[in-house]
Formats: sequence, structure tokens, C-alpha cells
Amino acid sequence: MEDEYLQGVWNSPDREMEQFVEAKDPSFEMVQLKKAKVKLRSLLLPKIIGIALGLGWMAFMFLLLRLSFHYSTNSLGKFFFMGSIGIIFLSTGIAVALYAKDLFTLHQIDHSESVVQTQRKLAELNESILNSVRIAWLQLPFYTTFYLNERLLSHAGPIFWIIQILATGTSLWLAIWLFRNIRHKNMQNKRIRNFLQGYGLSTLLQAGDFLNEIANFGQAAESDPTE
Amino acid sequence: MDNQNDLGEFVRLMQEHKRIVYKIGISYCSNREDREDLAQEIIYQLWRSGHTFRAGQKFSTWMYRVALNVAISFYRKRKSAQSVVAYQEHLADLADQEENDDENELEKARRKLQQCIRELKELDRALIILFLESKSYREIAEIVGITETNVATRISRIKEKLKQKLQPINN
Repeated sequence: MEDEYLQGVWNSPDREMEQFVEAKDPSFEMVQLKKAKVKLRSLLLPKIIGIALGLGWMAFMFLLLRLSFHYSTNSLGKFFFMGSIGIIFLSTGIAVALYAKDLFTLHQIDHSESVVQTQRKLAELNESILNSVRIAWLQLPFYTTFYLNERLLSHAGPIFWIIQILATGTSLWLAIWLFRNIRHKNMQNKRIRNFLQGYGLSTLLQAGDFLNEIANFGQAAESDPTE
Repeated sequence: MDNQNDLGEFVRLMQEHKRIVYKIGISYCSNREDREDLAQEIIYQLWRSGHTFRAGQKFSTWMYRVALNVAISFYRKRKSAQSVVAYQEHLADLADQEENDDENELEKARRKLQQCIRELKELDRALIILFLESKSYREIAEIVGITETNVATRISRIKEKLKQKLQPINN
């Protein structure tokens, strides 16, 4: 099959293309431009809502910290409460800030660079959203400690202690495991893949896979093992 | 591009190069509605990226870079809703088959070629579009960001794949 044949087929008359190209309305592009802007806003909306919810959660934690600081007496309960809520506040703050920064950079990316360069940057950025996921999970064990106080610690029975140790121990293990393992180099790990898919984070997995694909694509084709 | 003159110039250039937008759209989306969405997104990003266009640069090279980048990103976003995309593509292929009944051989071959291109990986699609648009290997290398040797080897492999898939129609 000759190149000319393929090019001839590709360039053969296409009714849909003719309709598209011959849309004579001079405002066509402007209408498209306006529609696309509206669409982009609607795509950004869920992400902005996500950031707003994170900030709302932080505001609530901050309020709890202030109330506890001013109105509760110094005690072991106050220490556990303020320590746990403080760490939840801090890790949510870091995760929200990283997420917002990545989204902003994604929005600003230069599409006029070469295809491989731009796609690599986009995939890397998508993947760096992994960092906000890792940090957000670090707060998990502190949801099992904020309610501890002297009375509970001195009067609780064995069942309480079994449940408490199991809950704190499991969430601590899970938080550390996820923090250490949610990384690009571990993307082929089945457990990590299942976890990310389970939490609707398959786009992050795809970003990782695509990065590998780009790396292969950029290498000399002669040594490409995927072909 | 931030004043009325720029806007007028942009609309003129778009009108002149609309074909490129369509050809890229058909290579990344099988469904008409998606193609329209992608065309909007390409036009919007071209407008937004206007400031990156340098005097002396070939407009079509710049346009291909922006449009292909938008198309690949658009396709990847859609791919994350994989089952929906697969279902839509299946419907689009069925619609294509129905339409094919009234088409001549050349139109059938074109549809088959477009379908085969959509079965390639995103980056390979960019290469073959540029090849079919008669761009030189040098220009393709510049747009895609790989070496000319790499472009030549990859295009030859892609053509081989297309040849195998299109053979039944050709015979």
C-alpha cells in the first residue's frame, strides 16, 4: 500500500468536514469560544468545590481548636483533642494547598510546546496530585484519638482498649503504608492500583502509565521494547 | 491576542485552518458530539495560547502543537470514564456501518482509515495525522518533540499496522 493511497484516502471528500469547514457564520468561532469557556468553568467547578470543602473543614477544625484553647481546662483530654485536631488541620491544609497549586499549574500549562514535552508535564502534574492524597491520609489515625481523656483512660474496660488499640493501630499502619507506597515507582503494585481505583483515583494511575509510555516514545524507536 | 484586531485575525486564521481542527477531532473522537466538544476546546486553547505564537514561526506548526496537545488531553480525560467511552464508540461504529451502506468505496476506505487511526495509541495518532497531512519528518519531529529518525521508524511501523488492517478493504 503506497503512501499516496493512504494520503488520498485521508484527503478524500468528507461531507461532515465540508459542513464543519463551510460554516460561514462569522461569529462561529466566537460562539465556540464562549461555549468552551462555559464548559471549562463547569469542568473546574467540582475541583473548586473540592478545595472549598477542604477549606470549610479547616475552618471548622480551627474553630474547634480556638474553643478548646479558650474554654477547656488544661488536662490530658485537652492535649489529645488539640493535638489530634491540630494535626488534622495541618495535614488538610497542606493537602489543599498542594492540590490548589497543582490545579493552578495545570490550568497555566503551555500547550504550544512540543507534544511529548507538554504531555509529560501534564502527566507529571496529574501524578503530583498523588502527594496531596498521601498527605491527606496521614491524618487518619488522629480521628481515633481526639476524644481520649483522663476519665476514659482510667475507667475504660478491656473491650474499649481492644477496640481502641485495633482502630488506632490499623489506621496508623494504613496511613504510613499509603504515605510510603503511593508513589510513581509503585504504580504497578496490584494493591496500590486497587486502592487508587477504589477511591476513584484511576486518573492518577493513568497519568503514571502515560508517563511510562511517553518515556518509551521519546526513546530511540529501534530500542523500543513495547513495539 | 487581547484586542478587537487580534480577535478578527484569530477568527480569520481559524476559518482558514478549520480543516486541521476537524481532522484532529475525527482521529481522537468517534462520536460527533465529542468531536464538537473537542473542536470548542481546541479553539479556546488556541485563543488562550495566542501569546505563545512567535513572529516568524509557521502558524500551522504552532496550531498543530496546541491542537494535538488539547486533543490528547481531551481523549485521556474521556478515557477515564472508560466504559462510557467504549459504549459510545460502539454506538458510533454501528452508526458508521449503517451510513456505509450508501457510501462509495473511497468513503468506506476513509471511514475505515479513521477508525484504524482511532485504534492507535494517542501519540502514534499524532504522528500519523501529521504524516497524512504531508508534513515533512523534520516538521513532525518539531511538533511532536522526538528525533527525525524516531519519527521515520515509528511512522513506518504505524503504516505497517494500518496496511494490515486496511488490506481487506483494499483487496
